[in-house]
Amino acid sequence: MNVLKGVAVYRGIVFGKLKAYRKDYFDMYSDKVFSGNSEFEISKFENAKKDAMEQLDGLYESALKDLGEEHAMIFGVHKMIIEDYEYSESVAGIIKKEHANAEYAVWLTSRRFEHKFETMDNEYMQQRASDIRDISRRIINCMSNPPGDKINEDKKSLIIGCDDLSPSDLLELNSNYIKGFITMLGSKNSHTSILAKSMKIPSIISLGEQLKPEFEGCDVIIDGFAGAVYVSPDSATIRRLKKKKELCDKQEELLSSFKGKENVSLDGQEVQLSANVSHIADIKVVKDVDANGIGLFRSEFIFMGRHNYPTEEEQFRIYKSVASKMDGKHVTIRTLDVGADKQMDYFDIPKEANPAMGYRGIRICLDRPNIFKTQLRAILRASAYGNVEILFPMISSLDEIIRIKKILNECKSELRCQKLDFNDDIKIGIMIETPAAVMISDILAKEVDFFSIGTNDLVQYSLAVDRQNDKVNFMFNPQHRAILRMIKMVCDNAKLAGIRVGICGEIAADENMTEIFLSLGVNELSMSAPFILGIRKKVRETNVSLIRDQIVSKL
Amino acid sequence: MNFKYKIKNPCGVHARPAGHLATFVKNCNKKYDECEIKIGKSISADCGCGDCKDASQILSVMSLGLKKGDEAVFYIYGPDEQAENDIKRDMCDLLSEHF
Repeated sequence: MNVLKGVAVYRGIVFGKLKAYRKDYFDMYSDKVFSGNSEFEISKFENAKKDAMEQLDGLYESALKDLGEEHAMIFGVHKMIIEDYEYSESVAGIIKKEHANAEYAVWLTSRRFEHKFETMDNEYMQQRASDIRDISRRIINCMSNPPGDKINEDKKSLIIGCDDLSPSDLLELNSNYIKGFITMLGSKNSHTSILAKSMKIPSIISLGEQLKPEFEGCDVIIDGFAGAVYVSPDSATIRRLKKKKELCDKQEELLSSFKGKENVSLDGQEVQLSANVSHIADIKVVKDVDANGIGLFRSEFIFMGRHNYPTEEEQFRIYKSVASKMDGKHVTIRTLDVGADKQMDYFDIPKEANPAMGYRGIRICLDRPNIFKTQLRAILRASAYGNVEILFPMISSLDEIIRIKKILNECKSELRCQKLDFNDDIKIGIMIETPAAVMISDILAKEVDFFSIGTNDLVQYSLAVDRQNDKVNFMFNPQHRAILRMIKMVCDNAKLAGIRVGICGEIAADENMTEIFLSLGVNELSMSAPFILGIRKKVRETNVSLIRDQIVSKL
Repeated sequence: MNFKYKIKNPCGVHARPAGHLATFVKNCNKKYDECEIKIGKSISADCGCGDCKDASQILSVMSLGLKKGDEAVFYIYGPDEQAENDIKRDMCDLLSEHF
């Protein structure tokens, strides 16, 4: 037995056979085979094109249904490339002129187009060469049976192993019912990982050289809780993991019985359980666990993985699609929260000695009003299509709120002049994540419609503990009495002003904290969607009136 | 009819913009009996251009390699002037959003 350790992307345990997923057989068609029957070769190509189009139609439909238009679009583009007659003419030309077989003609055509794109002086276009290759590979697959990639035998128990998977690889493999995948490369924040999570595919990534070619065909077990892969497991391991899987399945089943139930404690206190969303693909899970809404929509992802600022139209389309998908449930969009520690090149923010206390969040937005206004206009316009709210991060003074409101009002009057629809009464809220905001929360509460306590930063700033620092991160304690007292203070001030208060840090999903939050009168807990049902169960088992006095007196 | 358009998309005319254009042109071809829309890269002040490509073909459009700041030239041949103007108007909406 071999035990490989990597990074778990989605929790879950699966058993299966390891299948290598390779792509490098493409160049084996680089040898021309003489064919005296050009017509036969051309019809072979035309039939393969039809089959490929059908495959892409299927992929487009399933991606559209599961993941939305944004992800599905890639298959639409691939279809258009297949329909392109310059491509087809090139293939037919090679078949006729060189008396070549169709596979070779597709290969050569692909190489020529790839070359054209690779030599363009635009990095983005250079990457499009891979689209051409993807399509050509698909067409060749439809003509002949390449070795390696046939994923049809015993579909139900395959686990895919490869160096790295692209998002479209994953979408396609999923439609063939793979159980899980393991890769040598990859990162937890990559598009592929985000997709794997929303598709609930157990997967372990960045295994590096531990993953060896000779494991192909072996029995493997993925343990997505421990981040481990067992290759040719011994009987004791199989027994242990079968038991673990049984327990997990039972737990899952129990939790799913809480779908559709209200978040009300035994004595009738209600709390909203909403989801944190970091990517559009998360929305599917949000709907699956029937969250009360989106309590924190991290808009940063729209700005990441690109070379330029997203336009108002691009942002508008994303916000609008989320707002309408949520069917009237609230969608709290947090404005851009980047800084020197997580930033995009095109923002051009110099390195800082102390980024946590530097140029970040609302400070950047207020300093660069153009970026800010583009985003605000997009959010406002989306507010015509659902229950959209705006949340501003990193607030530390009243003055910031006044400046934000001024800019927001400018955006509103611009939109009014342009006769564009928006919700004039859109609710605005602020993150309470600096000790300063806690201390003046009575003043701030008069200016906004809701508070959202961001515990991760609040703990870091209040306890003076840098979580990235291995020497001190053991002191990072969200349950520190200082933090609980701060949360109480914010809740009390919110209640006095009659506004909503929520918690959107990691501890919102901590079952040990639920009783405390309910006792303090927190109105909303926003967390990563998979935790919602567990917390719902906890809320429904809690009797707040019995524990409130005892908990509050201890703070 | 012809007109010029300066590319503003920082990524240039890549797959998605080219795809949107191709879809649009294909719809025009369906709508009007005689209709041809071509795209090229501007090389002189008077709408002259090098290679002209059928704008309904995504690879052809992409392989022009139009970058931000480049000028594209569009040629619209429709059944009559009214139709050409209609096509141009709709096309400009599309261009301002994706190109």
